[in-house]
Formats: sequence, C-alpha cells, structure tokens
Amino acid sequence: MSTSFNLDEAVIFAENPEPRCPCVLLLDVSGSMSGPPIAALNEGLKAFQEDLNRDDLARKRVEIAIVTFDDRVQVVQEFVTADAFEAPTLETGGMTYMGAAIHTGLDLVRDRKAQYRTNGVAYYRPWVFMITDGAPTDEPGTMEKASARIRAEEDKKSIAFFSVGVEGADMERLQTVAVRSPLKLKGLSFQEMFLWLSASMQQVSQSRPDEQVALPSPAGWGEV
Amino acid sequence: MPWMVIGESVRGTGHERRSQPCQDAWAWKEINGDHLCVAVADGAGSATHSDVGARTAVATAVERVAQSIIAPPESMTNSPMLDSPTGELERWRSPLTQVIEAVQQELKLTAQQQEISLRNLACTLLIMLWTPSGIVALQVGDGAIIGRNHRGQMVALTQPQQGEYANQTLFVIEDNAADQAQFVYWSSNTSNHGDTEDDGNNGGDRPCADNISPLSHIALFSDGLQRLALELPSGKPFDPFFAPLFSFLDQARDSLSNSTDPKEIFNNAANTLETFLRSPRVTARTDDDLTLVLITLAPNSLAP
Repeated sequence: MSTSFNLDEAVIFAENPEPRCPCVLLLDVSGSMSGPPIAALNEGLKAFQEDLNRDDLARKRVEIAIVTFDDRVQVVQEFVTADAFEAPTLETGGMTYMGAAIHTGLDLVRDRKAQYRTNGVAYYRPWVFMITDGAPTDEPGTMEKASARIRAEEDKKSIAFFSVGVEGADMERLQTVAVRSPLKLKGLSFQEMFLWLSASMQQVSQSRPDEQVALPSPAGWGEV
Repeated sequence: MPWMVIGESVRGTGHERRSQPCQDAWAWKEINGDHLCVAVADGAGSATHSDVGARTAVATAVERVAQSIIAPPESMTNSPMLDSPTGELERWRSPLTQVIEAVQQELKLTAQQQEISLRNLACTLLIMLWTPSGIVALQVGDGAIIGRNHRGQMVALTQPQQGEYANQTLFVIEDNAADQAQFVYWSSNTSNHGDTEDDGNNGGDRPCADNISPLSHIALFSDGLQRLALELPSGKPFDPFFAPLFSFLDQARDSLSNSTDPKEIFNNAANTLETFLRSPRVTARTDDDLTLVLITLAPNSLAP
C-alpha cells in the first residue's frame, strides 16, 4: 500500500450536539445595589460574555440563565449558549427576595436537565452562582426551604451552589444558606469575578470522565 | 497471521497543554494462531497514575485472556459445548469475569508497590476476543467496540457507559465492574444469523444471534473519538467515519500479499493512522487522548 491514503480527507465526522454546561446566575438587584455596584455588575456581565466567547468549546457548551431578585423575582435570561448570550443591563429596585430567587433558579436547572434528557444531550453538573449585598427579606420560611433544597441537591450532586457577598452583605447569614462557604467580593471587582467564573466554566465544560476540575484561584477578587 | 491489526494511542492536545501524559493504552495478542485478543484502556483524567493503570490493565487483560485459552479453566471445559450464541456467551462469562478480577488484582498490586491509592490507577477497559466461532466483546466504561459485517453494515457491539454527567463513567477498579460490564457475543457461524435488518444498536449483555451475518471488521476506540464516530445518544456507528478507515485497512492488508516487507506495511499504516489522529481536523473537535484500533481478517485467515 502507499502512504498516500489520506484519512484526513476521507473520514467524515458524526455531528452530535455539544455536551452542555449549565450555569444560573442569581443576582441581587435590591435598592442597596444601586449606583456603582450595579454599574460594576453590568460591566462584569459583559466581560463574562466576551471571555466565554473567546473559548471555541466553551461558547458552544456553556449555557447561561439569569434570575434577578429585589421585591420580585425575574428570569431576565432563559438558558442560552454563551455564543448567543447578550449581557443584559440590570436596574435596581427594592427588597431582597433571595429565597424565592433560589427556588426559581433551582427550578430552571431541573427543567433544563429534563430538556437535555429528552433530547439526548449530555451535560455537566450545573452551577448556581448567587451574588448579593444584603440579607434575605423573604416571607418567613421561604429562605429556610430554599436552604434545605440547596443542601438536598448538593448531597445528590445535582448542582454546585456558590455564593458571593458584596460589601454590605450579611456574611454570617450567607454562611447558613448554602453548603459551600460564601466568598466576599473585594470592593467591586465584578470584572475579575466574572473572568474567574468564565475560566471555571471553560475548565468544567472540557473536563473528561472523573476529572476533578482544578478551578482557578478566586484570590484576585474574593476572600473567604 | 490471520488478522491485520492497526492501532494507535495518541496524547490529546488538552493533555499536552496540561503537561499530562497520554493516559490511553492498547495491547493485542494472537493466541494459538486462531484467537486474537485486543484490549483498550483510557485512564481517568483526575487519576495521577492512570497512564500506568491503563498500560497495566491492557497488558494484564490480553495475558489473562491468552491463559484462559491455552489452559481453559474447568468452568469452560466442563460446560457443555452448546452450539448456540447463548451457549458461547455463557461459556465465556466466567473466564472473562476472572480476567476483570485479575486486572483488578494487578492494579491493586501496582498501587501497593508504588504506594499510591488504587483510585489513582482508575481506567476504563475494553476487550475484544476473536475466536474461530465468533467475537466476544466486553466493556467497562466509555468508548465503544463496533463491527462491520460482510455486507458492509455497521453494528455497535458495545456502547459508551456514562453517568448522569458528561464527565462521569465506570472504571475497572470499581468492585462492581464485572457486574456492570457490557458483555456481548457475535457468532461467526452464518447459520446463526437471520436476515433481519438491524438498527446497528446492540449494546447490552446478550448474544447477538438473530442478526446480520458474521463480522469482517472490528474497531475499538476510547471516548475521545466517541462524538466523532458515533451517532449519540443511540450509539449507532457513524458509517462515513468508519467506511474510509476500513477501506484503508483493507488496502494495507491487500498489499501484504505482494510485499516482501510486511513490517514496512504495518509501520506505514500505523503512521498514516497516527497522522490522522493528530490532524487539525480531529484535534479541533476533541482535545482528549485518542485510541483507535482497526482489525480485519488477513489472507491466511483460519476463520471460515
């Protein structure tokens, strides 16, 4: 035989949907976030969009949804892949309905997983990433139920829930919300935080079987 | 030799970036001139020594399969020679379960010797055994073993085994690996094959009897090629992926008969396969380690 057999030209690849790496952002837009914090958060979201799109695999694999909360809980972005994501410009309002927002976020994840399964799309463990500068002001009981739900889903490895406190956040209260310890944002380094989140999502979305993903250090923007 | 076997394991571009070694391995052995065993293993990305694990697993697997043919265990010689695919599947179950146990033992020993945890040797394991009466396929974890019959139809002997998440699978170090393994027998006896059309989707623990004629070609591959080579989630082999690869293998085999230097033909073919696995078109789609082994019957085949 000759070595001229060009497999590179002859072999055609199957087209399979990319495995998806879902990430829900739960963003506090209560009144206290108004002014520089919300402006920095909006800039951070833009950096998140741009950075994810620099990675050829991540832009097709990472899916973003955004839930905002003040006195109402709004899904401002349903799940969309990074290449179709356009960072919204958020505005601030009143109270901090954190518990209700957590329930909405976890519902989004549950429904998205069902859609993946129906369509035979492989997926990675979803991330829920909450940013707040206050303490929950939900109806009594809502926050406790939300916390219990986070714990149950972390136990089943259904999600990974991260929380970040902005200046003014009740860090002690936040400590009780989720399983993982909250991180305190240094000043308004939302940009650095979102670049970290983007880098982490790139790692996760390209991890292979049993790979314990080594996440980048959050030292540039957060402290325990 | 009655089979043409061309295979390569190459380090993924992602592994190069992270300075990880190639954690895939493969091995083959011809036994008694009428049996061929090929094994492929893919070491877990998170395991520090999974390259060692994968190499140990494939070497142990082909050795132990060879032993069970050269000196069959009592369970094999005692069991009645049922002339049926179900009988053949059952006849192989116990010796191949012992092969998995032997691989586990060897990995435990390696872990002790190197003073590392067994988890750091985690890998998948795919075994294909071509006997005069048929083909046995066994798989723990992801990747797949596919075949093509004399009529050019593709069949999936095994399927990738995945957990809920895309980065989860089953490894041979797990206690329940033998129970969870896919175990399939495909008869080479034409009378055992009906003419029923097949959807090419045969993963499972059963003989493939009422199916489409004996197989002439086999491919084993690790999970890095999965999304290029299979239609997911069904796991059906993607014909335009394999057809050119098998033509390439046939061409290499045919050139053996009028060559004075078979070694050169094997080397050239292996180089061509390696070049393909390292080509930008492939690495743009997958940055994982890649293993692909292609097998077909050669001119002096002892098979019918």
